[in-house]
Amino acid sequence: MTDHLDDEILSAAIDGEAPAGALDHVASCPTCAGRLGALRMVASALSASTVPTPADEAGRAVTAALDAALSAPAGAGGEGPQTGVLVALRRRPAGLAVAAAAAAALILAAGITGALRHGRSSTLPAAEKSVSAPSRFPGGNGAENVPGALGAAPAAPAFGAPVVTGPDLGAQSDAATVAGLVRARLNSAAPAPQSGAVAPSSTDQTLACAPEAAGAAGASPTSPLRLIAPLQWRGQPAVVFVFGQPGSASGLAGVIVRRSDCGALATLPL
Amino acid sequence: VCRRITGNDADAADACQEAMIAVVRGLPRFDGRSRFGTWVYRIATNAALDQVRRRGRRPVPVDETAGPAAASASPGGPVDEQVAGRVDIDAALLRIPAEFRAAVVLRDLCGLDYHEIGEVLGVPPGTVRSRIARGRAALVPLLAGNPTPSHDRPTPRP
Repeated sequence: MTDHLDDEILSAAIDGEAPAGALDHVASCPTCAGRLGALRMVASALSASTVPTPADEAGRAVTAALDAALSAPAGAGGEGPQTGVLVALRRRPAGLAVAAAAAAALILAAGITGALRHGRSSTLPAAEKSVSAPSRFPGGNGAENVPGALGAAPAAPAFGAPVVTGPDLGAQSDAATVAGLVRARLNSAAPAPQSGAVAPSSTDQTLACAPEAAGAAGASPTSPLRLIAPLQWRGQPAVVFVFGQPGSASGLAGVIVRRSDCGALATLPL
Repeated sequence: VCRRITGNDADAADACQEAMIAVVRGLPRFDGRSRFGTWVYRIATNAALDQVRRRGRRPVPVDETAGPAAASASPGGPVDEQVAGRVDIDAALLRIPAEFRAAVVLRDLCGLDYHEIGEVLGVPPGTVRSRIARGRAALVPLLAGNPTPSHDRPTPRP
């Protein structure tokens, strides 16, 4: 009769997760030592293996996809610029490399840090649920499994909503003036089916600043983005962001942010 | 993660894109309960497993030309380096159950600890420990050149 350690303990020992003293036996047991070596070989082989990394051209492809998405018309089907990015990425022009690079680019562009600063409710992030499969693991948590997921996920509330864009607001130095221009633009926007949005021009507004702008505007993390427009603010390239904010008097919250670093320059008296 | 769990570029690309979409959509709702990286790993892992499920993939026969690794490994170097350099890791991973594969990938490729893997997979750390052990045990014969995986090694306990 033998009394060798089982794989679970030996495997955990590789990861430093074995109970204290569990490996004392290994020192004097060639069988367990051999088994530990075999399991360690597997772990090492996997750790040492490499997955092809995105090629150099992936970055250019991603940039092109993002540019195309940000300048694409948003009216059709209520598709906003953010969705346009996703559509462009779905075209997957260069396969996994682009997808991976695009993921990284978008995560960065979306301003992760800005998002992290926002709400801290205790609810499970919907996105975690959204890509789960039913009963994937026999021992898993079935409550988190929601089939069908991505298609059923709600639209991103912060900057996935219809957006009004348009020509550059010009050189400005007064927030009240900009607020007036914004109101006028919102009021004059021809309603589009289901959205009230108008197709954007080829402005180079930076959606990446949306999370930062929402925070600076005092908008809630779930406020829909209503307007983006470039302008020159006191000599600096800037972008106006306006969010729907039901709690405010006008239902709007706006801010001007510097284009280079998304730094807040002025809030709009909307 | 997507590449190793799905085992091929095309599925990995789809899973990666879906994960990315979910990340972007979910960013405003990320509540900070877990580390951001863990949250993203969870999304990516689930997307990859969804992709595997959608494709109805089953363990793929190992390409005999890709192995056996150990049998053809030349002496003189660390065995793990020889194996890593010669064996088709993907083919071996695809021959073990997806739940084991995910746990092993998150541990050995991503370097997550058992608690983090538990968060990603939504299972207790004890289950993580078991899945990693069973996954590695199943990979031992595959990486050593035995084409028949042994998902559960007969444990020589009393």
